[in-house]
Amino acid sequence: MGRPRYGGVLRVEMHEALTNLDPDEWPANGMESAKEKLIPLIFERLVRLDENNRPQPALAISWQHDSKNKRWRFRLRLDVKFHDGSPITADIAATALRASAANWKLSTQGDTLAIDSDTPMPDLLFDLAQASHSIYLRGSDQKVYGTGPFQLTGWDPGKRAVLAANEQYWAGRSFLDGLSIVMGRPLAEQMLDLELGKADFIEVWPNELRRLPKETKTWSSSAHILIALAFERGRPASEDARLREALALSIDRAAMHNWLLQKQGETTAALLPQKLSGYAFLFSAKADLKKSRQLVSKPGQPASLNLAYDGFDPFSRSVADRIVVNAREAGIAVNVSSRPLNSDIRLLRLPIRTPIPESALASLLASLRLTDDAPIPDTSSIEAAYAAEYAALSSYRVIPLFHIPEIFGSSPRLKTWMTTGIDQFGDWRFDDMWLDMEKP
Amino acid sequence: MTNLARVTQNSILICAALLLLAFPQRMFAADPYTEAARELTAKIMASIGPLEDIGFTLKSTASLSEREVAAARQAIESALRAQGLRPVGDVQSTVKINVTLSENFQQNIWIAEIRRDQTYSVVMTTQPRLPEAQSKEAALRMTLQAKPIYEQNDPILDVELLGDQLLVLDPRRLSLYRRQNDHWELERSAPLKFSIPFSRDIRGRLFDSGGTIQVHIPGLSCNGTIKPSLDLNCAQDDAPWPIGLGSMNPTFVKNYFVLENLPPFFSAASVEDDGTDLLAISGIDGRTYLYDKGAGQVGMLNGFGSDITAIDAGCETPRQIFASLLTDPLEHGILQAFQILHRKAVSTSSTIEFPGPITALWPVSSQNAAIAVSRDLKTGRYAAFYLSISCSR
Repeated sequence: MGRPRYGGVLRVEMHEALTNLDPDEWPANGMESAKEKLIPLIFERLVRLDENNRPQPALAISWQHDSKNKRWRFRLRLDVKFHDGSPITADIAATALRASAANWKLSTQGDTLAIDSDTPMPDLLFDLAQASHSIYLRGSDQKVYGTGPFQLTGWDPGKRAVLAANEQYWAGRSFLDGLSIVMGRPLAEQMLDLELGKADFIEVWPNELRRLPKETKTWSSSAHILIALAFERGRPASEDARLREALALSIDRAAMHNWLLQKQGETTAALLPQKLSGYAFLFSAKADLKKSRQLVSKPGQPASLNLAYDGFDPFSRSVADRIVVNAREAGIAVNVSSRPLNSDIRLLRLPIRTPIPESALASLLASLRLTDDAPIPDTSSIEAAYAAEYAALSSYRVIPLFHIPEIFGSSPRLKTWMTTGIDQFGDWRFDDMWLDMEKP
Repeated sequence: MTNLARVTQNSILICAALLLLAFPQRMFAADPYTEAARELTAKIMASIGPLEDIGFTLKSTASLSEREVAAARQAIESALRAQGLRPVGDVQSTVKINVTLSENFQQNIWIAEIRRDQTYSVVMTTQPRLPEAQSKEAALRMTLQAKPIYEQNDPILDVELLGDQLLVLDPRRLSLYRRQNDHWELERSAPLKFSIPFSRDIRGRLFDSGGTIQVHIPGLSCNGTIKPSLDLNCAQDDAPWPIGLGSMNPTFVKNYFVLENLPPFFSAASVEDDGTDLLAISGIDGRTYLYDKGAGQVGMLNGFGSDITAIDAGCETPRQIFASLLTDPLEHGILQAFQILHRKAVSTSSTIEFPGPITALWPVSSQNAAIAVSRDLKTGRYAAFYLSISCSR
């Protein structure tokens, strides 16, 4: 492999249509996974996680904490500038973090930022590595500026984002000159565009892997996306515990894993992947059609369930169709629709973005709104997390199905230099990628 | 799901567990397995109370070797016996305990599923682990130390500590210093004359083999002695360089090495993985590969920079790799110690940050330490560090 060449604009397509790239605005349900990918290209955090989930210096060059993990001190990297040319200061970093974490006590002294808390924060570095804790400068024009490897030069909400290489990037200018990102592009059209040479980098769903052109290069994250069914609260069918359990027991995850997922990722009956929690194997993912039928055969069962899936996502449609078949074998009629109105169940795709199992579980429970009428359960230790996850799943209001990786396809001329290009949580490392063009 | 029950969190049971933990434990040695086994057994006892025979199975879903699983099994069975239980395998018994040795990114997790009549409960113990595959050996933390020994304005290519004397190789000369109180005093220098132009990334190697010293810089090889005085005889050639790979001495080209049947590499280290000798090479493509003796690629190590070397740390551990981590050339250099486990690198020490990028990393001739050279980003000077590692639990 030759050394990397500079130049070229990478054409990226995605199915999500983002309406803003403000690092201060995040949807409460954590459903905008594409934003989590774009934000780190423009904005940086104090700390980043390496491939082994070890916190590494980013905008903070070093840190210290007391023995109780209540007092943390971060020394900022010197000579870093925002995209508008303003130098980063500890005060600016503190302002950004105040907006994202109101419960932290933030103070500054020189180039040092202090974060204090009344309670221990042993996982603070992992929290700070999240995109939601990006450091930004809000200019007097209300525009937000980052320090990342790319800067936003064009923005058409929901349609297109244009990014240019940050020539002054402290970690070295990206090999690419820029990125042109088309949003709201259906997956089938993305694949066609890749085939026709109109796109360089697209999203690929596991069930589409077989259809990729032969020369396509694929990039994959770890299996950090939870695919699950979630029952809507308050719907008569959803409130029938026997029906919920019957549906859960009817689903043949293994067959779907073989055929739809092309054996990508893993089947699961747990919210957290085994690699993250270490205890997921305690939740059985085996179908039990006999028991399912017994539960359904009781009198007074509603005739059918309405299942809603993401209409942009053909993989969701395929999974929903298989659930219809499985449920029918148990005597449950399931109607599928891409419209969530009047649905009893939703087929969800939830990203897990932290290597800390307790934090990941708390985030999932909040996203799934399993804790609406109860305080967030104790997830402070792995044993407590298991107890909380068991409690959450025992009602069958959520039925985990799979943990799948994020997969991307690219033209073979897209290469990476010192990193894997896509990290374990599916984040794009476009700053380390380069285009192998015929003429340098 | 109905056969699952909540984890026992009853405070009375916790008190019972604590009481059990307070029992005299003369049978338990102070190693991680017996400690974990004792804790798990205490939790099991809190759930089932006194019994004699128990059905007992153990499996591992963790990245542990067979030897480690066997050691864990022995530790748990011993701990159970110490509490008056007789683990008798998966047989007909009132109580069945299935232990799974599991793990996640951060922790080793030992999980006991306890089935008694129609009840089912789960207890767990956890131990911290390193981010990658973890084992008993990897739990043995190393302390990596970098002691500054010398600095100068010219690039330092290599140094060799010889008691109270120090040899410093730079692109223009080999210098011999003698320690005088808290500083090094120059005794003598031998100029190095070679005809090929300097590379922007010049490298050099200094090797002491029992009184005879070898010097290698691109296009020039020298042999000499330091006693009674520094004396060096050089010839312009491309003789292979000794870089700590035993009898395998690669040839230096431009700024990298070539060795038969291997891709070109910036640096290499002899390592072992569960008794198997392997070669780790930092390829010029930016990736670090593992090769077996037959020069077949058997793995790839992520996150390493261009410089690696290995040393014998002692303390019953495999050879330790010192590796520079991937950083930008304008960042501070970072070094960390690793060992190879199941074809992956497992960190065994915390990182050490240097004042600038690491420009050289070589094993010392005795193979139990290494030399790192870093260019200070603020001063522009080059500093040599003596790297050693000590074992600690």
